Amino acid sequence: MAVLPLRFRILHIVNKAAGKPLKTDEIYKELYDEYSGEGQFSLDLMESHLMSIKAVGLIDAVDPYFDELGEARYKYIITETGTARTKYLPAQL
Amino acid sequence: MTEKSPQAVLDAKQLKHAKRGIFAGVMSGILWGASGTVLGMAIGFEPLASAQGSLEGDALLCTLVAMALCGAILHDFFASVWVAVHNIRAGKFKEYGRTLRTKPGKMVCLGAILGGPIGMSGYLLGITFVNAAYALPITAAYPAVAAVLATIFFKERNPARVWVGVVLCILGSFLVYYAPMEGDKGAFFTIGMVLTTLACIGWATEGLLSTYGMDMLDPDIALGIREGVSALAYLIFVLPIVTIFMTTKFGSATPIWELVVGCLGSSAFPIYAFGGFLGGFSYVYWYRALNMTGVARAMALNVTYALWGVIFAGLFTGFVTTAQLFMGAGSIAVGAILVSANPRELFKLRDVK
Repeated sequence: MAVLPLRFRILHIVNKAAGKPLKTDEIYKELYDEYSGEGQFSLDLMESHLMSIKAVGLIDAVDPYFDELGEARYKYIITETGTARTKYLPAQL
Repeated sequence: MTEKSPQAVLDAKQLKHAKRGIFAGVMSGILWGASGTVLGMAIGFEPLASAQGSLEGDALLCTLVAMALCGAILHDFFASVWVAVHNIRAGKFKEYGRTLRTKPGKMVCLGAILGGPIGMSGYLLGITFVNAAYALPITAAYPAVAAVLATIFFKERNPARVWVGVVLCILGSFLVYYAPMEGDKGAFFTIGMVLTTLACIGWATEGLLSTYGMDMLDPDIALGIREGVSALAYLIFVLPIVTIFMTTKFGSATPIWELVVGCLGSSAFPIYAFGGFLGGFSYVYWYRALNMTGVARAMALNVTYALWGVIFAGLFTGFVTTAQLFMGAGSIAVGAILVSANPRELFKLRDVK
């Protein structure tokens, strides 16, 4: 299947977790094979994508924690609006 | 020393993110005001200046239409190029094709046709027929038009604050329309204001359409597609249709193609390129503000271009700003801010601390 826009895949992965909050690096690792090598794909930029997707209400940030490098991060969970938007994702995902 | 909790660190980070969004919103307004002023100035350069200097009546009308469309095409073309360069540098080029295959991507394309050939043409025709200082405030009322359209077509219920904003925009529009201008307003002032209103409607409908599903897209990519599709729509549909219409109606072919081609090697070329650059980056900041600080704040900051347009026209084009025009522009800006700033969206969705 053709590669989807990065934000579609991020939303798909957070939605697939079915209510389990996901860490930024968990999402990053899951997408690594598809998007690594692209300038838009790094752990820091992943955080920025997540904050923007949160800003439009598709995901929510919960359970703040410090990662192993001492960086403060959130875990992310799908919202009702986000679940409604998954209708735009291809059925074969 | 007390160690900060992860929540406190993240709150600070989010505040910084929101502040950057507010800066982006302010920049989008300033750059759009500057872009309109620069594009309006292109009329004074060749080949546009001599084309309008020796004509009158229908021939002049045809030439003015041609000039405005020429400006709209070149603006959207240059804006799409600048945004594409920005996206390539950010490593996002592959996202164009991926996004175009999705339904939200296709909705952006449809929005581009409403916002480009209809919105941008009306805007540039307005700037050409009247001064940017008149045209910019009128188009800034687009959130009010969007609110009215959403009520009619989507049965949206708006609070009293929104309707107060709509009334302020209408009052402001009257103030602008009847604001005195030094010298003659020109034969095409009324038609220019009508076309500017058409731009306002085009952008309002584009906003309504693009908002739905757009939140899944990278704003920089959505913008690149919007500008590119708009420029293509001009070349494939608008130019041939307008040429045929003008030929049939007035009996002679308009110099649209000649002007567009002529512009490429003329002194107007860098003006359009610079206008497109400013306009393109105004959009980049606008879409970025939407993502970083929320629709309400972003829109409220963006519509301040109504005032920036009047200020820049006064500073850089020798246009004499009157108190009535400034009050009209201010009334539209305040009205549009009232329409846009929905406290629920500000504090619920965006969670800006």
